[in-house]
Amino acid sequence: MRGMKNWKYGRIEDKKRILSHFIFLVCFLSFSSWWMHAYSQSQSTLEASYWSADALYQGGQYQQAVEKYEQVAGSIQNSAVYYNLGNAYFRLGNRGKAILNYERAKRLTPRDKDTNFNLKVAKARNVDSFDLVKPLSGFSLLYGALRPNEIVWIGLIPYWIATISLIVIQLIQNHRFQRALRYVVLIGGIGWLFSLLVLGLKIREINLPYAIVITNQVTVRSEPDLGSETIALPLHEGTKIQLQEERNDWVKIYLPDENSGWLSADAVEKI
Amino acid sequence: MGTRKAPDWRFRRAFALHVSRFTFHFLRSTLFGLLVSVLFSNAAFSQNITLSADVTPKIISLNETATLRVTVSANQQLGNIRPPNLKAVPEFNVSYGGASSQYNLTGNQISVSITWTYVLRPKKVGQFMVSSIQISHGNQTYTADPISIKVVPRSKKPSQSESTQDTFTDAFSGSTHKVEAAVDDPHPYVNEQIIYTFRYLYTARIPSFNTPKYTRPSLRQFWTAELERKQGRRQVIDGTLYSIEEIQVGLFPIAAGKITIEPAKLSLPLAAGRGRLQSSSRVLVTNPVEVNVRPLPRESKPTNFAGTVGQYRIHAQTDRGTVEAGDGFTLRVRVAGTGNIETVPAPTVPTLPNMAIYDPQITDAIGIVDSKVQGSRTYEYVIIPSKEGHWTVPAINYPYFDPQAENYQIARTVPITINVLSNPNQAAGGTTLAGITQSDMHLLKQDIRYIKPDSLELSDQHLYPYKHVSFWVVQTLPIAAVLSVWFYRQRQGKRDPKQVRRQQAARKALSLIEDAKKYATDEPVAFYGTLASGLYQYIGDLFDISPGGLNPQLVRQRCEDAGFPESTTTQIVDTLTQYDYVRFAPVAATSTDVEDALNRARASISEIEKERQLKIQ
Repeated sequence: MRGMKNWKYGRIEDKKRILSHFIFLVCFLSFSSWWMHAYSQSQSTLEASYWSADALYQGGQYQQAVEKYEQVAGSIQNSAVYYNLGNAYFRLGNRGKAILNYERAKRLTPRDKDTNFNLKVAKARNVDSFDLVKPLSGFSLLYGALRPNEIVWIGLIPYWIATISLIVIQLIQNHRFQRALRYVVLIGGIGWLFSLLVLGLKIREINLPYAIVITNQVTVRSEPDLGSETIALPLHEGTKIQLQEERNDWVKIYLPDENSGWLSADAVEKI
Repeated sequence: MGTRKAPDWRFRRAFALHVSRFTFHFLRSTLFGLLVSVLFSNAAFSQNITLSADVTPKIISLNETATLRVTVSANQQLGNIRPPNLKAVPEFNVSYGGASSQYNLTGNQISVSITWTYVLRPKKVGQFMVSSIQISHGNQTYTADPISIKVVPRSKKPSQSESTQDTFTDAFSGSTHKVEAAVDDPHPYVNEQIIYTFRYLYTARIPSFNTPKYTRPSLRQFWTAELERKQGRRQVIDGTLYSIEEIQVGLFPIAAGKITIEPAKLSLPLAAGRGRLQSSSRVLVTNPVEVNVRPLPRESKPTNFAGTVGQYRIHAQTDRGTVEAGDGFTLRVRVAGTGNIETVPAPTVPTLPNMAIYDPQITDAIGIVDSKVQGSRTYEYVIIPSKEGHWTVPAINYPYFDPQAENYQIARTVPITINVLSNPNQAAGGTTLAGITQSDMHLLKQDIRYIKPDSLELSDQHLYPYKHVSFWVVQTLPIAAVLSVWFYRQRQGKRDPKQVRRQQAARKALSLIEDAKKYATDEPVAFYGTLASGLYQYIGDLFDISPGGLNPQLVRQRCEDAGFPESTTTQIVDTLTQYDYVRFAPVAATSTDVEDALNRARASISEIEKERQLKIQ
């Protein structure tokens, strides 16, 4: 009789377990379906806007194309969208916005030939033939052409080699091979830490507050005040600048020789 | 009884657990099956492509043409798709009439359609089927349903009163409806605006919920501008009072020659009731309108005439009169007047010495006044003077053809003087506007590259990898694997008594050696005996043997078998031999002897431990 009780108790436990599995599966299935449906719908809407923007561009309706591309660019970061948006602005004669969007595209795909070419073509039409940005360290040559994701993947190679070596060290008995693998672990670890350092520098560079002048001409002043002194020649549309500070309707920019000046915030847009 | 039944219960319980696990795995498989099927059903849905064909009219006479429209519709981007091949229609001469595409977004549903138009000119009389209209997309071929078309002799063509009438009298309401079309000037010049007017005249509205539907004729040979709709006007014609609604379109002929504007259509909705069994419609068709477009006269055409037609004036001004060298000023040139503003060419700004002129920004302001397109286009040039002095922007000539005066005119701006001051910043090489390099000149002549194809995947390209789970997964997974293996090895070591004994050997031996200190001065036999016991115990634990039967020779053999270096082996064997010698021939031990004996014991264990660490992990 005791056994019978155990059996019954066990069967109830099992039923509960089956039920909990079933509830989990139903919840998971529902959530997955909902998520996939929502994702595919939003993706379809974006793709439709993107296609129609392309069609409008091909039909020479650049203003309408800009509106559609802006709509897509407001939802996702994609270099092709920024590139096409830059083209549409360029066709409208809005060089500042064109350069702004080419720069945004370049940040996502630094080695894209079309983006780099169009950026050069647009900048060649700039009135100011310089960028007011602080020079980057020579170290940036290492990672300038790489995307952050690519740096991560490159760093994973020595990291995974090091960790696999660590596992092998624990599993084998041959002490000579173990000693050799310790060097592999050391070198791989250093390689991985170096990749993390490069990634950090890359992210730091991405976060530098660059901006583009988007108005025809803007005056550089000594203080954030319309009545203050003009301290440099005016900047023109398309010039790349580096911001130091943002205050209300003004931005402080870097000028050569450790100087700085103030511009109206409406005249610039951050990359 | 309970004891006898126990195996059955255990079996049943195990069976229930087994069923539970099986159900779980089955549901999990089902889940993934469903997910996969959802994915595939989405994919299948997204690949829904249909091909349809339609011909109008379906009955034509031998000297007429029919229009065949082939439409491919899909809810996905079609990419490069070739027009259908229609060579296999021997009864007709087929000519390609162009293509049009359409994108629609209804809710979240995309629809894309491409329509190819063909003109069919019959070769003989008869009833024909146009079939085998196919397109290929991807690896699939799509076929449209066959279409029937009847070609009748010219005299036998059935009358289509409905499609040729411009007047209709509704027998039930007694109202009369007329349509007509006209242009205000049938002999315009190229690019001169004319007004195409469609009129709908009616004595009373047809009682219907629907409004008449106007179909504009094809106006491909014109630039068009939507004008205004006029309604509510009334006029007495031949003694009858008509209400008049007008739709006007501004037309700018693109090329000279005779153009026939096809008839416009108006579909009148006829509601059911009062003798009509069901609702229908009656189509009224206007007369075709002929326009003879005159070319612009060749005589006295200005040399820099670029095709501007209308009445224009031009005005130029700068945003300042004095600038510093290297500083920029803006030259605004405004072309304003009546005509096709959107197509007016940019004025030619003369080359200015010591000044760099950059591409203009263009701003349009266009409106309709008295049914005429009017407005202005403003060009804003940034100009950078490089040298100080008084410089003049000379008058800009802007030639145009005035169709009213029927001659060429030239609008001119007033010359503007700019006073350029010297610039100390420029001389010092500070934040100046440097000159254009050869490389820049090369780029200035180049156009930007074309947009990226829309077939590219529209994914979100993230800049910060550490904000994503995948980054942390690939970074922590290897560490987790290493820790797992380490824990596994640790647990494995604890379960093995040999391993446990080996791991604790040194600690136990050193403990015995410490115990020996208490016999150091008074009992040399006990002191050396304890030290020897500690070392034998250590060797016994290390090799998982009993320490009882060990002697220096056996220890040497074991150490040699284990592959310890000769120096290590000799050290422990010599130490043990010395202890045995003192144990069996005891002498009083000095404090130096005690310390030396203790150190030798510790050193022997330490040496072996070092070797063991290298050999046995």
